[in-house]
Amino acid sequence: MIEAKNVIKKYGQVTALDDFTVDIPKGKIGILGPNGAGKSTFVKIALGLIESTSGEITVLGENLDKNSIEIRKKIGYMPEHDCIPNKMTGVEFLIEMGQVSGLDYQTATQRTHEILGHLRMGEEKYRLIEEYSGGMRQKIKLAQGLVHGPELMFLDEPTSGLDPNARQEMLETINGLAEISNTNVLLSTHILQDVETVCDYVIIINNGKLQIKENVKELVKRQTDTIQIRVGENSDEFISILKQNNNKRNIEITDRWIRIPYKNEESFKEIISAAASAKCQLYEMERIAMTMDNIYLEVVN
Amino acid sequence: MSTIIFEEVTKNYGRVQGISNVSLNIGPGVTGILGPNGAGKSTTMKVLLGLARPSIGSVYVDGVNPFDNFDLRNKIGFVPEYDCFYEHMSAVDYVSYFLMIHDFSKEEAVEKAENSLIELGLQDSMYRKIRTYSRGMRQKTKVARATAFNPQILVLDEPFQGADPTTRHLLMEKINSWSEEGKTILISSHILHDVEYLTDNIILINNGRVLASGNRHEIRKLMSNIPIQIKISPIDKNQLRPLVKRMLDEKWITAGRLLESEGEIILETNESEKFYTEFPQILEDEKIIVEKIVSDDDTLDSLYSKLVEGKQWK
Amino acid sequence: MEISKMFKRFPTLFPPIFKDCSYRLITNKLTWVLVAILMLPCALGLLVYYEFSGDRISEEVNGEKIYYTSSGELLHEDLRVLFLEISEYFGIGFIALLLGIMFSSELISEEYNLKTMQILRTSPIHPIEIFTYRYISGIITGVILLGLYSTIFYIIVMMGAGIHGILEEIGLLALVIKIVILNWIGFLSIFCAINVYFERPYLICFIYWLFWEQIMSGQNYQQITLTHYINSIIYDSLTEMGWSVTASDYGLVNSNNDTIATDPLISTFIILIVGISFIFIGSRGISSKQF
Repeated sequence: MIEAKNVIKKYGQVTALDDFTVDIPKGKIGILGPNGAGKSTFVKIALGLIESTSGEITVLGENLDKNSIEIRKKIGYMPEHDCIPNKMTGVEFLIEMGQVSGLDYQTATQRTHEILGHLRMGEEKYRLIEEYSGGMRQKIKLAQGLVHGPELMFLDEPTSGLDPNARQEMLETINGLAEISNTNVLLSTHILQDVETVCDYVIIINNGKLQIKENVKELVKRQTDTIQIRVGENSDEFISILKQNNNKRNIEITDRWIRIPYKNEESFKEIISAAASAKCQLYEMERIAMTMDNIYLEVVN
Repeated sequence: MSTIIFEEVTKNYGRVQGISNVSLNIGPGVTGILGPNGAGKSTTMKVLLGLARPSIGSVYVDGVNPFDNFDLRNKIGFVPEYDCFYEHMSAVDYVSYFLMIHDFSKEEAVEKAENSLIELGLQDSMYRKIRTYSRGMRQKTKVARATAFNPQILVLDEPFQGADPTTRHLLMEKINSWSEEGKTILISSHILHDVEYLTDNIILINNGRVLASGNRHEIRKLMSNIPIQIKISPIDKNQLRPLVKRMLDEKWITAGRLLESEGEIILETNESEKFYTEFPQILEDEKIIVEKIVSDDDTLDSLYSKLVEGKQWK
Repeated sequence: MEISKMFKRFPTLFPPIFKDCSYRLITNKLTWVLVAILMLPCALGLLVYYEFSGDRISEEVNGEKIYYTSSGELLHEDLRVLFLEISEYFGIGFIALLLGIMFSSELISEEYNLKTMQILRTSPIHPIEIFTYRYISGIITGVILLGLYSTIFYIIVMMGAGIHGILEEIGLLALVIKIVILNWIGFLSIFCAINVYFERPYLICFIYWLFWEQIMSGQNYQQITLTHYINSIIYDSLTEMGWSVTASDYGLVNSNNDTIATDPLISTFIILIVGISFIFIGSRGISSKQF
């Protein structure tokens, strides 16, 4: 989808992207990195908003240097900040945006209603934007990027500030986007669980360089060498039995969970028999999986 | 050790409902307050901070009414949801400005402000104007201001909003360590995952009413009308089938499902306590080793959608 | 909180608050718009000086140059009237009023908008402290700004009458500065209190000034307006300086044309009382306002 080869971008003395090479596959891609690490510079270059100092970048098979106007028709952008007028209805605003992107009035109207249908906006689309809730405003922001039918949609913090319901709905919408209209998605966010739930691939940028590019499903399947357990009554007896069996290993105990190191399958057997002989409830037993947080912090720090 | 008690508190703003008949008892440690926008989370916080007076009922923070109480204000640190800065000040100026209000001398205030900001990782930018700060730095500055005078109670309204993952992680570690020191911390966040990481004690609130409060596992147990689903995965996948069969022999297992592709079985029971007590023994007897016993039923995601969104059968 | 404790913490608490408030007031764009408007008469004064300084007649007495108008009157006596009249619209008049309203809004309303008031209300600071320190900061900034302005304007206007003229009428400058101070003590307190209680302070402040101060003053019950006391002081001082002014010039007469000017000392006292009372009214508003 996006191919960058040895891209360098300098702002005066500051190097934002330093010999940056990446081949981003199609699908839903999460793009992560600390502020000022080069993430937004890369996105701006890929959107054709700024030019790189040197290097080559191809977006959707077209070279950016030559076709930066053409390419914009294939790209949609949902900015992070509020950028929508209050005194218009959702429909009016989107039709206008469609016309700005070069659609005629009737097509723009048709596209608007089609997209708002996908986003599950009901009659409220005829209301003024200022009356919208946070989740609805985000949907309008998303819709304005989609109205001209882009092949690649870039989303900047789409779930920021949304409450759990609205956030869930936004994530489902993004998933649907890729499935229904085959739009590729580039998602930049600070909420790493969003990447976990939505994205196929994740890339992490730090210090102007690509740190990792991995399949998300593979990444979070990785397990750590710690087993987390939660038990009910008689936990003291349970712990003392465990300690006898694990005298050389360190057991971490808090009032919320017990964590013991995973050695092999025997570890599970020991836990189960300890619970059986202590007659205590074994509410939870599981090897802790890697989360995006662990991976991110490992890569960035 | 500080405690916060709400006794049937109702707060109306004119004709608009803030919170309605809320009774709470919040003790030391972290308590998460969850709910949709406009559910009453901020109102709850404002009432306990003494920024709003209850319309009906009473609030006691350490046994006293917080409205217009001066001594209490040295004990409570508040991080509001929105920005609340004098943008032209540097973080050190800003934090020390408020520390002087807390009766520290100028020198002490500056020193405490610097320490508190350095602890939160702002050492490089704390002399720059707040106007130039990123969202994460702003959150850290707010937290530094609320904690620099070492209050016993912390009220954090969406402290992770807009913070990058590194900042988020750092703030969570700090919150954890303050909780271990015995501070009473009330925190709201839209990211359920973050709250789950910090604590099991939650308050679920919607339409101004408290739907449930307490330990999330206990809350799930109280919802006895909804059977609990437990995921189990044996190490030897050949034992999937025998295990389901064996478990269905027990009359307290209402349903069993085999997910061969995932190598898991899902059991459903109305008598979860019985299940959790007897299951290890059954495994012992049958000589089956499992590597996973989990229930997604008492995760915050699941509780939230069941109680707040009313999706009981998600 | 006891009053004694407030006094005790004044030295630590006031400087940072003053620093913040004065910075915000001075960097506010509106302040500079108003300062630019204030500078208009100064510019005009300079223009007049360069155009007409050739028309005046001078005479040297004891090594001092004294200037006369072409019709042979003392030039500084002509110019001082001009200075006072223009000041009554600018430095101690309408523009100063706008500046006061703007300052009060920046000092109080802005704290609500910035949500810093929420933080202050959860910090151990008494509403009286919140209000008073902002009020004092406003007075100091305003008085310095307008005092400086009046001095500059005075020099520009009186320049025509030479050093002699400037020194001769210095008492008038002192009077204007005194009025600036009293104006700010009285009005800023009222404006700040209005800012605490009302959502649209600009409008309410202006309505108050227009209907209360402007229309009521010059009527039978003008003693309930601050303008009456300000005018009384100006009137009294001018008479003392030997100006030929009548009470009706300053509207200090009732419908029977009796002079009802108040004694300047009592006037000053009343203005101070009004200032202090509105501190309490404003503080009450802050402490009872809920979020």
